[in-house]
Formats: sequence, C-alpha cells, structure tokens
Amino acid sequence: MLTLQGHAFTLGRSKFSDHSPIRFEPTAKVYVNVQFGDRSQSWLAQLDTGAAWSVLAPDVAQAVGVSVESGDPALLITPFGVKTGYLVRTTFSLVADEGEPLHAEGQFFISPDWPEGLNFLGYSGLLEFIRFALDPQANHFYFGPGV
Amino acid sequence: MAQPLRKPEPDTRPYAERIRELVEQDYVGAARELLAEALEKGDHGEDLSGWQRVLAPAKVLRVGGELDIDRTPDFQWLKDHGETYWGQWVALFGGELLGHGENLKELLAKLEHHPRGRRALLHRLY
Repeated sequence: MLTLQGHAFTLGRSKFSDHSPIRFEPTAKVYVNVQFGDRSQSWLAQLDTGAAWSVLAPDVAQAVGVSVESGDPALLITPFGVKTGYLVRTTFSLVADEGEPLHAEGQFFISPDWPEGLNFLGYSGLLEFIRFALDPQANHFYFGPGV
Repeated sequence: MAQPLRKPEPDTRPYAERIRELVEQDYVGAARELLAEALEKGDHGEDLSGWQRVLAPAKVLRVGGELDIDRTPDFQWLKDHGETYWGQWVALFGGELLGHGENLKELLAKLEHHPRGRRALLHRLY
C-alpha cells in the first residue's frame, strides 16, 4: 500500500467509480464501496470532502438495522433543501480489494425524507479522521487509519 | 483613533443552543471548540453528553478481514445498463445482475437465496 517517509500511509485499496449513476448529475464524482452495520453486501457512497456531514439513505439505514432514534435530532441545510433527521453514530467498513479493509464508527445524518439510496461520506466526523488518497488514472481509492 | 461604537454583547444563550446552531450551519470545528470550552468550565448545569457523542471523532475499530472483488465489471455494468433499470435497486456481482426491484428490503430478501447474494454491490439508479 502507500507509504510516507518509510511508514505505512494507507493499508487498503479499492476501485472507485467516477461515473455518476444519478441521471441529473452531469459531472464526474467519486463513488466508493462501503459496508454498513453487520451487512455483508456493499453500497456505493459519494466521497464528498465539501460536505460537513456523512449521510446514510433512510432505506439503507433501515436495511442494515441502524436505529435512527438512537441518534440526536438535527436540522441540516442540504442540496435537497432543509432536512430534519438524526445524527447517528454507526459502524461502517471501507471495503478493500487489495490490502486490508478498514472498520470504523462515525456520525451519519439520517433523514426520512432524504432520497432513497443516496449515501455520502462527508468530512466532519468521518473523512477528517482517516487517511485517504485517490489515483484518478487507475480509479484507485486508498485508505487507512488516521494518526 | 477610531473607536468601536459599542462592545459586542457576550452570547448568554445556553451552550447547547449555541452548539446546535453551529452544527446546523455546518460550522463543526467551531461547535467542537465551544463544546470544549463548555466542558472545561463545567459549571453551566447543562447536559452536553449528546453533543459530545455527535461531535466525537470517527474511531477506527479494526483493520483486516475478507477482501472484496475488483468492482470494475460492476461499475461498467452500471454504465452500460443503468438506464434500463431507472428507478430501481440493482444487485451486482462480477458484472452480473443478481437481482433488481423497486424495494430494497424485497431485493435483500431475494438475495438471501442467491449463492453470491451476500457479496452483492447494491445501488439505486436514478
């Protein structure tokens, strides 16, 4: 995996998709493969360093058994308008096809009126605490624990 | 020399209210700083445990475990066939469509009976 000054910088790697599967989204984005809770299936989540919070789609949250009411109520301004929901701490895994997968817990915003199936990995409470790097030529997403 | 017309008033609202305002405006760093200030003072009589939970850093639990397959064929499938399944959930493995449907719960139930269902990549197409 990647090293920095002779030490491991990242431990795992997966392919990412730069093709938007969303019809109304014309520009390329980075979609990475994530598992939530104890489910062995994986979902695509958009890597969004510009987003303050991560978002777990309500139907995915229900499918993976995340208890929304265990979180703290919040009202956030999003690209889909002002949404009420909960900030919930839950487990997730960055899936690897090379190296080691990373299993962690972080904060996700879950709102009942958020579009189905749209997951985001945002900066606060999640990406800011791990190391990651992109190789856009090879569509490789590298990741590892932060220091 | 120029003088300020008046001093800014100190914010006397409860910490929880001010932290909520910052969180909801995406000022997460400022919310963490205010929470740290409140916890350091410790004599404000407010329960801030909820905000400690919300603003806690992500925590790596462990590394290692089962490796996934290279999902390039699944991403190619989404490019080639995504339009056909607009508005539906699809389950993919190795560039093969394992199942599809409008309801995620029903699709997951179908995948229980598929030999590769537990390793599917699930995605909803818009």
